[in-house]
Amino acid sequence: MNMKCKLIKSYSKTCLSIRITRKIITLVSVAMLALMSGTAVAESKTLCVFDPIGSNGPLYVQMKDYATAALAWGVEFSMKPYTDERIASEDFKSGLCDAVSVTGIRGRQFNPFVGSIDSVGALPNYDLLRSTVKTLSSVKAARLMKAGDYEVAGIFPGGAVYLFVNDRSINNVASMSGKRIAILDYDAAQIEIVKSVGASSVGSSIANMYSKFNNGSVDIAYGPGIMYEAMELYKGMEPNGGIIRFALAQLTIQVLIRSAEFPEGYGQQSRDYVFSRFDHGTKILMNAEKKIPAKWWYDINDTDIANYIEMFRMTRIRLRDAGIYDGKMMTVLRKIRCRNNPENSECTAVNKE
Amino acid sequence: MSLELVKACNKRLVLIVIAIFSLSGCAVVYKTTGRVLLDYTYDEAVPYVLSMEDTEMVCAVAESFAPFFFSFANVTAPPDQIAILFYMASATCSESRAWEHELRYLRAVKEKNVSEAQDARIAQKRALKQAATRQVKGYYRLVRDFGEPGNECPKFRSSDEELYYLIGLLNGVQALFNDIAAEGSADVPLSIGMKVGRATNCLDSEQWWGLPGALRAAIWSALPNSKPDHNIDPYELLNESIELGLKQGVRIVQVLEAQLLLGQGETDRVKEVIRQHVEVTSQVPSNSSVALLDAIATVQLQAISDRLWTEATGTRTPIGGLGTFPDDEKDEEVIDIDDLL
Repeated sequence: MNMKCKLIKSYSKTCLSIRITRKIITLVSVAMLALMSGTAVAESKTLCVFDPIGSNGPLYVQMKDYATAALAWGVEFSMKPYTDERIASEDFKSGLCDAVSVTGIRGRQFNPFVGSIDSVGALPNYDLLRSTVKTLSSVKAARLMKAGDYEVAGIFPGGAVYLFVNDRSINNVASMSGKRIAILDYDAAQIEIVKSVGASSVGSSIANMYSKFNNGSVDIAYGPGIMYEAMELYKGMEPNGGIIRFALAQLTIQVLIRSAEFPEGYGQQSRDYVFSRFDHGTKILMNAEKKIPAKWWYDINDTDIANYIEMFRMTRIRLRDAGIYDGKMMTVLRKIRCRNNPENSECTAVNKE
Repeated sequence: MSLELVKACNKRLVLIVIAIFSLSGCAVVYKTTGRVLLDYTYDEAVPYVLSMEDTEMVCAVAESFAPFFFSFANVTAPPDQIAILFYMASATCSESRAWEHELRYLRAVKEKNVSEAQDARIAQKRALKQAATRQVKGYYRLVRDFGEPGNECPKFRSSDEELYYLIGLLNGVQALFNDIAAEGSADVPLSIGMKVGRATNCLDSEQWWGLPGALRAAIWSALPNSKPDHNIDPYELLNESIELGLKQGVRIVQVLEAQLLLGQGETDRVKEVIRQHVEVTSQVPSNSSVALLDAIATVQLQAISDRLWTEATGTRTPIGGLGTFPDDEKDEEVIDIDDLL
């Protein structure tokens, strides 16, 4: 009977029931085998990982642990390193990758709400970033993690962004006027920010941004503290430069998936895991900041801090109105800031975000 | 002088010598012994070890004898150059333990055994932390002996010193990448990469089997901000360097090439490098005075091959199978049985 069913591809009731029974037996056997051996059944997916150093870099290492954890949620990843973030994003868009990990700036095109976490001046410290990521990783926020076919399946901290300058007289908004700043010109927000302080932007890539600062082609560069040592930024700061002790933004690394292709509940399990690694990630980033010799850090006075905060707030509003930053995220971030410090002038401003 | 007086003087002299020894403990003997042993190590043992092909024996010797040699620092000048070599050799033991955990991890992933895979990752990171710790200590010995790399070039007194310098730079780069893989737990300064990249210019790439050039190319590729000119193609320098190494029978440059390509996900090109390595080692004998470096190259390429084999099949490279891969298509004709009947 079985043979007959195979050969003539019959769709008779008997053959159909034999096939269904066989499928059930196979599924039950696989499940039992999995239970007996303490292993999980997993679907194969491709995870494209952006890391400027490739598979030898820290972001790839982080994602390798992520991929290992994902086995427990029913997905087996085959990982692919990308040293160019643009190509990683394009390959995700075209379907070559089922999941991707990129910076929030690149991730903004897939989910403008979550991609706006990295907005300028929005989160001045790691505690506020932690509150934000915790809130966004909660079950209640799950619907906001989805945008079209895409879902944000986790937010890793990427480091507070600081300004590295070659002259300490750059200590307020006015003093930045006319200075050359290396920027990643694919981000419209960065172009707008530089324009708003009257500085001139010098289009760069991650591959040459810091060499431009070290060889004096630009006066100002920015980045997480970890770049100080890795890129020898003291060379660009010597003798009179420094690092302004004021976080411009919080860089994040976001995991994105094409949600329909993943098992039910995968996104939430993934966000829970990624958030569980948050403190570990910030510890590494803060250690790198602590290793920077104290002589390089310098403070700006309270008036100038207030001016910076207001300038960034107005820039965010402009970028929101231009459709670059997501309005809903701007409101969420403002509420988180005001919850932490209700005395902030922005909390009672007429044009609050 | 009367005989009695001479005898009395000799007695006094013997007593004085005994007193000096008693007061200074064994310091004088130790100092002399330390110097002799160090001289012997530099002049005889190191060249002998470099000519060996048994990498596991060298790793075991380094792990066992390193504390003994390093203790000479208490009685004579610190043996920094020996330490550069011993730290590198002992780190190869840690690295090979890390490879085993990597294979265990890959098998666990293949079997969808989550806890086993996670445990293997932790064990692998511990081993890599140990490797990075040893390598960075080797690098610091270089800093102490030759000065901070990447600034002015040191004045080498002999070609041996250049070799120690080269090994020290390798220590630095390996420490950096192993520490990144171990989540920064060995606390290796990230600036080492840029410094080593510049310091390779202090060595003649042709004299040292293309290794300084290949190292510089690898750093330029991993850290593009370290390139003196944005338009430089690191692969041009890498290819030139590989040619130099292959010509001289020291194939360690191929390890750098394979690691670089692996980092960029170019698995097919990595396989080509391993195939080429197997081919050239069968055609060009290794440079016997530094056979160890060539043997290390083969072992490290075999580790990469093991990873590729394990990912695909669950088991490592078969015996005699280095240079082949599970997905190799065999271009063999299948004869139709009907034609033969």
